[in-house]
Amino acid sequence: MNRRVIAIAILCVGLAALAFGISLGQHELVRSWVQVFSDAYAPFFPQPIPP
Amino acid sequence: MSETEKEIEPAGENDRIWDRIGHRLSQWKKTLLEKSRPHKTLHYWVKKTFEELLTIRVIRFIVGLVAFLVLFYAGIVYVLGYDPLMGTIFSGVAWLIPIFGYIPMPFEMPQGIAQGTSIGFFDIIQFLGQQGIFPYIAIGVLLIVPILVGRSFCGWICPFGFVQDLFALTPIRKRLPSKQWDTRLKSIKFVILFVILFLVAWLGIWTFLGIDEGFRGAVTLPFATAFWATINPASTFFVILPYLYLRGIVSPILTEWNPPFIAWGWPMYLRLGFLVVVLLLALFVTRPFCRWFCPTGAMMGLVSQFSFLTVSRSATDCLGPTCDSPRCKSACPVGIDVMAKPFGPIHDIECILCLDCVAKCGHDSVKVEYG
Repeated sequence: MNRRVIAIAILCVGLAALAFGISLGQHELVRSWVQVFSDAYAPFFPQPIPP
Repeated sequence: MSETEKEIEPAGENDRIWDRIGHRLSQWKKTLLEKSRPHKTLHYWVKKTFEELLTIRVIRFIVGLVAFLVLFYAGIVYVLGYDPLMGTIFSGVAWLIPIFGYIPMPFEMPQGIAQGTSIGFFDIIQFLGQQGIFPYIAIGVLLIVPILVGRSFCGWICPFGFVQDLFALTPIRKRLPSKQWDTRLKSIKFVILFVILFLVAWLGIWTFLGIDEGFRGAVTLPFATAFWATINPASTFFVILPYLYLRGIVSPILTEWNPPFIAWGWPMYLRLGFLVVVLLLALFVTRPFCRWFCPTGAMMGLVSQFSFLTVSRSATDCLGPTCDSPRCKSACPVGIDVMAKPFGPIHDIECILCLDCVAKCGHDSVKVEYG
C-alpha cells in the first residue's frame, strides 16, 4: 500500500483518538498526574502579577 | 638579420598576441567576478551569518537549550527561590506550565518530574494503562506527532537528548561499536518497550477484572504505577537527583511529602548506576540512550517510518561511492549510514531528524522533504 495513504490513515486514527480522549476528559487525568508533583512545589511557583 | 633572429621575431609577435588575449580574458574575468559578487547589503550579511555562524548544529543547540529552560522553568524558579522573569515581558512563560500539564509530550519526559510541568506520553500510557484505562490522548499524540514531524522532537526538543549532546561536546574522540554490535544494541530498546507494554497490558487487565491487589503488593506501588520510571536514566537525572538534593538541603516540604520511590537500597543503586553508565557512554558515543535504550523513541520510530517529514538523498546530486568527501556517513549521531540508503526519502526508525547529514553534505545532495 502507498506509504502516504498509510500515513494519512494513521493521522486520522490519531486525531480520532485525541478527540475521543478529550471528550472523555482524559486530559484532566493527565493534568491530575502532573498536579500531584506540581502541588508539592506550589509555594514556590511564580504568582500571577495583579493587573 | 640572422637566421636565428628571423625565427624569434614571429614568436615574439605571437607572445604579444597571447598577452593581449590573456589580458582581455583577465579583465573579462574580473568584470564577471565583480558582477557576480553580491553587494554587502543587509541580506548579504544575514545570509553570511546563517551560513557560517548559525549552522544547523548551533541552531539545534539553541533550540534545545530554550526548550530545556522552558520545560524546567518551574524547577529553575524553585532552585533560585524567586522568579527571574517576574515583572518582565517573559513572565508569561509561566502560562506554559498548566498548558503542558494537559498534553503528553512526544519525548522522554519522566514521570514525577520534580518540576511538575509536564509528562511524556509513554509515562501516561503506563500510568493509565496499568489502571485499566485505555490512554486515548497519549496514543493520539503517539500517532499524530511522528506522522507530521517524524522524530524531530527527539532530535531538537528532548531534554535528555540535550543533556547527551552536552556530554558529546567534550573533546574526547568518539568511538563507535562495530556495525554488527550497534545493530544488536539497537534492539535493546524494543525489548524494553515490549516488556513494559506487556506488563502494562497485563496489569491493566487484572485491574479491570479487580484481581490486581496481589501483584501490586508483590512488586510495590511505585513499580506498578510506572515500570520504566523505576530505572529510566532520564527520570533519575531529572527527578531523583533533584529530589535527593532538595530533600537533603533545602526542602522541608519534601520531608513531609516523601515520595515512596526515593529510598536507598539496591533499586536506587541500580538506577544511579544505569544513569552513570549512560552518561559515561555519552562521552564516547553520540546519543547512546536514544540509540540503544529509549523505549519512547522506539515507539515513535515505529510510526515515524511513515512520516511526511523526511531527509532525502538526491538521485541527481549525490555522487554515491565516488563522492570525494562523504561526510554524511559519519555525521549521523544515531549511526545511520546515509550513503548506504537508496535514493529518495530515508524512512529509518532511528532517524531523529537532527539534520546533521544535511548540514555536512558538501554537495547539497541530502535534503529535507515534506510530503
